[in-house]
Amino acid sequence: MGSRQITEKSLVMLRSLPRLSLANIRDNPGSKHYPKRGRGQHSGDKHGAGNKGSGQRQNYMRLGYETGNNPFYLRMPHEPYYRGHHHRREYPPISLLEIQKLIDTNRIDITKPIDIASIVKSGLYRFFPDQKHFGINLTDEGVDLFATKINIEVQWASELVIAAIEKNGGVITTAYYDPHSLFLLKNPKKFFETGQAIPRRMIPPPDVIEYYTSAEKRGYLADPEKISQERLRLSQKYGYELPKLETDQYFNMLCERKDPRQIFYGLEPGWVVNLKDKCILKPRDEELLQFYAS
Amino acid sequence: MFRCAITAIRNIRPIFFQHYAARIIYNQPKSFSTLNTRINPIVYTGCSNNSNLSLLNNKQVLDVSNNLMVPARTVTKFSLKKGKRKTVKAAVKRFLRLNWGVWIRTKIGRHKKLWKKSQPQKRRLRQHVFVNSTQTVLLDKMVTKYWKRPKYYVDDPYEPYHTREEFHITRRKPRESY
Repeated sequence: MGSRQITEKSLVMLRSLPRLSLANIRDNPGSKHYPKRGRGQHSGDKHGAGNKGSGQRQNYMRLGYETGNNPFYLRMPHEPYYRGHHHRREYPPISLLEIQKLIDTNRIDITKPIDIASIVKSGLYRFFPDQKHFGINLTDEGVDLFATKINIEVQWASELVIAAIEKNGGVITTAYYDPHSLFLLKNPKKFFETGQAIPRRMIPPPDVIEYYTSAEKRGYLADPEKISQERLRLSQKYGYELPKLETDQYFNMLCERKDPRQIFYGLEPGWVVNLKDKCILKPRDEELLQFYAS
Repeated sequence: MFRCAITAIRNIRPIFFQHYAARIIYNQPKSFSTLNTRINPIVYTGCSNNSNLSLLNNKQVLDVSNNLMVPARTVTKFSLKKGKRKTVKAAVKRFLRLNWGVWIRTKIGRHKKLWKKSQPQKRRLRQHVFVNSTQTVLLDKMVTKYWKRPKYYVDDPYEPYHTREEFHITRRKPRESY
C-alpha cells in the first residue's frame, strides 16, 4: 500500500468522524491537579495551632513561666509593700481646692456645719465604706486659694489644712466613725427606710484613739480648753491673726459639734425616722435612754 | 507534684499481710487545678476483702500524705470553692502597684555579698525601680482587681509616686491655678 492510499484512507476516516467541538474535547491526561481529601475539619489543616512545637501541642504555659529559668516574678527577694493591708484604714482624699469649688458652685451649704454626709451629698466625692474607707482625708492642695469660713468635720487633716481653715475664721474637727455609721452617713435614706433605730457611734480603735484625743489634730475627744490653746499656738507658728469667734455672727453655727455617740446632725441615737409618715419616734423607756446615752 | 507523692509513698517500708492482700489502686487523675497541694490516694479494697487494714489506716502513710506541702505560686483562674480568680501571693509579696499602673520592685541581689560591692553599687541596690511594660502586663494578670484599686493610706511612703501630675504629658487633671 502506497503512501497515497494511506492519505486517501485517512481523509475518508476524517470525513466520517464527528467534527471537533466543545462537546467532545477533554483535558490532556495529567494536566489537572485535583485537591486531596484531607481528614478532619478544614481538610486536615492544623486548626489554627501552627506548625510544630509548643504552639501545636497547645501547651499553654502558666503565667510567668520561663521554660525552666528562674521566673522574673520570683527572682527578687520579698519586700513587705502590702504588709497589713487588710487592716489598714484608708481615707480617700479631698483637697481644700475641691471643697472651695463645692462651696462656690453651691453644692455645700456653709451656713450649716459640714460633715461627711453633706460632702457625699454634693455628689463629687466617692467613698466606699465596704472597701475599708474610713472617711475624708482633707489635703492641702489649693491651700492658698481657700477663703471660706466653715465649720467642717473630717476624719483626717494635716496641720497645714487646720491652719488654713482657722486662718479664715473657720473651725475644723477630726472625728472617727465606725464603718457601720459611715454606711448610714453615705446613704441615710436607705437606712431610714429599714425602720431601724439610729445606732450609737462606736468609739475609735486603740491605734487611733491618740489621734482623736489630741488637741493638735483637733480631735473630737480632745479637751476644748486645750484646743483653743492650740489654735493660738498654730496661729503664732504660721503667723496669722486668729479671728475672734465670740464676736462672729455665725458663732452658734461655728460652736456646733456632734456628740461622740451621735451620727447625724440633729438626730440622736435611738431615734427612729419614719419617712412614710414624716415623723420621728423617740424612745421613752428608761433602759433604752440609758443605753443610748452611754 | 505527683511524682513526689509516689516517691514519698514508695519510701515507706512495705507491708505484707498473709491472707488479706488488699488491692490498692491509686486513683489520681490528672488534676485540673494547679493548686492541688495535698494528694490523698483513694484506696479501693477488693470486693471480697472488707478489711480495715488498708493504707488509709496506716499512720505513716497518713503522716506523709497530710504533711505533703507542695508550694504553688501560679495563678488560679477558677478556685475550687467559688470558681473565682485568685491572686498570685508571690507577686504581691515582691511588687507594689502604683496608682498610675506601673509596678515597682527591689533590685536583685541587694542582700548578697555586700562586702565585695562598691558603695555606688550598694546605693543602686537600695533603690526601687519600675518593671518594664511586658512585666507590668504579666503582673496585672496575676492579681485581682483589689490590688489594682487605689489605696488611700494616710501615712503611705509611696504617696508622691502614685500620680504623675508634675509632667505635662502625663498630667491627668487640668491645672487649676497658674
